[in-house]
Amino acid sequence: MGNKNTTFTEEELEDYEDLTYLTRREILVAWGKWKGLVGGQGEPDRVTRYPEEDVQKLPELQHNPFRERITRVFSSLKDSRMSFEDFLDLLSVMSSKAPLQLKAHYAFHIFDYNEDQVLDTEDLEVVVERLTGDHALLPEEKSKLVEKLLEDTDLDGGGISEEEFKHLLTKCPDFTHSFRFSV
Amino acid sequence: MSGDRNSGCRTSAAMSGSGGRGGSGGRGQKAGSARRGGWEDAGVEFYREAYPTSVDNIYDTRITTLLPSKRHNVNSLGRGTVRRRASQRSRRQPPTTTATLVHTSRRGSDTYLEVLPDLTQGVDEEETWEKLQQIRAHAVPIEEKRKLKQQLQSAPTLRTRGLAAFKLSRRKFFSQTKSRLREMISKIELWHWSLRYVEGNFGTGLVAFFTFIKWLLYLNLFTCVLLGVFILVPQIFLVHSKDSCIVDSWPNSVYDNETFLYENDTNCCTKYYNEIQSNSPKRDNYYLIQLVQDGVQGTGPLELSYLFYGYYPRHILVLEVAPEWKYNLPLAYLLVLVVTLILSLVLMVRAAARGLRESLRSSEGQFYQYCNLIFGGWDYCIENNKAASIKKKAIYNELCNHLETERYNEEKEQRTKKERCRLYMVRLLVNMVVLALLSVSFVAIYKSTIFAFDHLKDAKDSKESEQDKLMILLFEYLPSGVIVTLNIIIPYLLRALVKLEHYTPNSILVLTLIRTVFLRLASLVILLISIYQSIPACPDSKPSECIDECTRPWCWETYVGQQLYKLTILDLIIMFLTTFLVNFPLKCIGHKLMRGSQIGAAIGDIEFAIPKHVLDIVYGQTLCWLGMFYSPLLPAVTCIKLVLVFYIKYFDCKVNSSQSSQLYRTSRSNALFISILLVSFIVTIIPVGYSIAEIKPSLACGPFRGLDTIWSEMLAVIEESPDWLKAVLLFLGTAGFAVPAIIFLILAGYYYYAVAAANKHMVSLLKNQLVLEGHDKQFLLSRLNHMIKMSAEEGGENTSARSSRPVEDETGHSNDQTLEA
Repeated sequence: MGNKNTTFTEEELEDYEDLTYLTRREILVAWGKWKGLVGGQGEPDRVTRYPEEDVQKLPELQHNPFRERITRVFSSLKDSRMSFEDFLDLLSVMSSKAPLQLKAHYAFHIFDYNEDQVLDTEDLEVVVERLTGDHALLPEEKSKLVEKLLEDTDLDGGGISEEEFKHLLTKCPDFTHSFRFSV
Repeated sequence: MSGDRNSGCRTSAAMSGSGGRGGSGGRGQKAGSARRGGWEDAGVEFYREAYPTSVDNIYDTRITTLLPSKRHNVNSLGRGTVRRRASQRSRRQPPTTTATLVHTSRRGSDTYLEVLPDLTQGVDEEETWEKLQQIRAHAVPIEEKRKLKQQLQSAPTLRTRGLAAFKLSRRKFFSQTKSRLREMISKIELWHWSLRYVEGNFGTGLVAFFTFIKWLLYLNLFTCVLLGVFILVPQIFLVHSKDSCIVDSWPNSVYDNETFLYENDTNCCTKYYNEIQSNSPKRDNYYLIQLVQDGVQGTGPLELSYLFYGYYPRHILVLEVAPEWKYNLPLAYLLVLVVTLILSLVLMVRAAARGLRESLRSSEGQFYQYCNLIFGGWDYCIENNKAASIKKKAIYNELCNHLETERYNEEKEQRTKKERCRLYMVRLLVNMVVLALLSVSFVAIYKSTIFAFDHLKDAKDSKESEQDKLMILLFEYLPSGVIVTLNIIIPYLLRALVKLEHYTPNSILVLTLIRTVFLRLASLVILLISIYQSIPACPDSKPSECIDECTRPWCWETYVGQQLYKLTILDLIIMFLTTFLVNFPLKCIGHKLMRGSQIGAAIGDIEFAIPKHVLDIVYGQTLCWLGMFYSPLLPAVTCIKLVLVFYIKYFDCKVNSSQSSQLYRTSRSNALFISILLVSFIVTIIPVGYSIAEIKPSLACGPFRGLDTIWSEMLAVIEESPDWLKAVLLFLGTAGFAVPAIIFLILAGYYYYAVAAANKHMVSLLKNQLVLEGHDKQFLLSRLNHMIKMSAEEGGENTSARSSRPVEDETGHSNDQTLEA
């Protein structure tokens, strides 16, 4: 991108580079995309918060079955709005350089639909439903699946806690490959 | 495709009875999971117990969030990679006194707890710098991270001095350069946008395939550079004295003596060979066709060029301006090839180890496959609605697959003896049929090669008429044609046969792949064997004879190089033709002309079958490795071919194929591709090694003419090296070294196996213990809730006010005091 430093000072870029896993180029590309997403209401700046639906128009999020959860988890004030810095947070966690622990933390909160800090039967049922979309499993198939999942991964009962989830994900090598995108 | 909700898997009939068997489903897994016996019962009863773990008990939620383990897991996030002992210490003590809680219940029941690590103790520069580097790994929004950074930077730090300061500045410098380098490399990354397109529209499984092509390209480039620098460049820029063919067989100048490495006899052979090559008749009418044909086959002007082994001389090359600088070309030729093969092996084993580690992890148990599918199954980079719906369907299919595999396993245990016998008989029969098919194809290839070779000799001697020219062309391409036809037909038959064997879908995939790989590799080996048959089929020639009575090719190494070069080019042409002249029209016909009809869909819907394409790529790479010794520029040709292949396959994927409904998992794919590559590498080492060690090089050409075997060059060099080196190298070849080395390797392997088994046992023990601890925790929590409720009811307003605000407290201490009251 040619428009180098018209919007960011050197300090700010360095600051963002330190605080996220993005490179300079990626930050500038992200700014371009941000302007495209929310630019309808005049020239965007870095602190204004925009409604979630605007952010969900991003191509990678548009067809993601978990997009509402993603925007909710990454919204720092939990007010169904995101600022540019929240957007940078999202991209940083989704970049390929972010470590597994960090991604696991956010993935846990994304999948936790009822926000009770554990992944229990209801959460998992909703996840499976979203994943299969139109082709739904029969209710008893779904419950059998979820029960099997919990039975084998939940060691101390009461649903999958964050620690258990992180440990679980170290055994799922596809997670690091699939839980990422870049701009 | 039409949204049939709640239709369930195909096997829904079988599923209807399984709803009530949820609990006993676990027992069905007993066969492979004896180590889970400890908590199997616990898991089942657990869900039936009436422990109050429901969320509507607000006391329970708040108390669980105060548990040290809940606080600790976030704290350890930032210190994950810091190697200081101080952080190890603080990890063991839960941070109760000085932790700061952020985001505490901003909105009602939202208890988003994040705990930032303690930073007010005096720290030195190194620790500060490490913490700064780890800021990104904290799971808090940017604002908080910024505050943390400011806090870190303004906190009083002890300056490091002396050696520690130097080490620190060196570390900082290294990490900065690494990140700059990475950014630069990412800018010039090859095919970045094509890969992004595939990622967005097809998912990461397919990207793994194209990334594999890219990796192979880099490997070939590396090989090319090595060969170019050490073989090609000296040959171009350095000179050697002329070969003089003097029948009196005595060298006539002192200068010549220094660069000759062989007797005078073979000079004449070389001269004759060169003359024959340059005097081969060229017809003016069909010049262009002749040129194209020569280009594809490597004959004509290409035969005596840098492309093939025959051009390289058996001389010590010298620099024109400074004749003291010598370069032993034959030795360099041999050494560079051996070193290149070893380096390629090392690189491949590294990549394979990574892939194997991942795939082992995922195949550890049936349950982890479910988790892998549900939590890692969705590609977050999909940008396209159609791709998203296909992906959902693929995940659904895979889930049904898993459920079906389970049902299959349950069914398997219930099979009667008679059924089992019958199934085994069928499997045996199918295996025999497959073996028969493969042997028939091998015999066909062998016979056709020998047939073509014999007739080619006859036809070449009498190249008179047009018809003969056509016959020559036919015979040239007969072996390759047979191989290609077999490679198309046999996989179809294999796929049909494997359906009779009743394996699980995964096993079917792996089995078909193994059989097809076997077919491809073995057909190559048969080709080599048939070439080998036609070369040293003659008795040893007399020293003064350049050519034997049985008229084998003057320069058999070049002949082999030509065959492999021809196969490479042919492979490329066939890929091109298949994509553009077969698949593309089929798709156009199916989708445009016969749109909407069943037949149209059947014709036009071509799936991009990854295993088949991977085999194509691996086949090309195998040809490159086989031919590397006889044609030093073949890696360069393969590089160009890989670039073209990338675009051909990309076109095939993007335009011709409809979306695949099968889920290709990256981790499994990576492991698969690299292991197939390794297997074919090992298969190619054997013929090349044998030809270096045993076959007599031809007299008329090449850097090894006049020797008994190519390896004797190496032996001669060892003879001339200093005594200690000679002793060491000769010792390495004896049995006295090999046998102890093998024994040592076996012992080391066994040791690691024993350690791994012990660790597995430990893991199962710890799991059982964890389950029991979990029981304890739940029990204690419920008692605690009970007590709080009772004291709340008794105490009235006061105690209830105090005990209802445990979360807003800054520390955990005061909370403990309240409860103890």
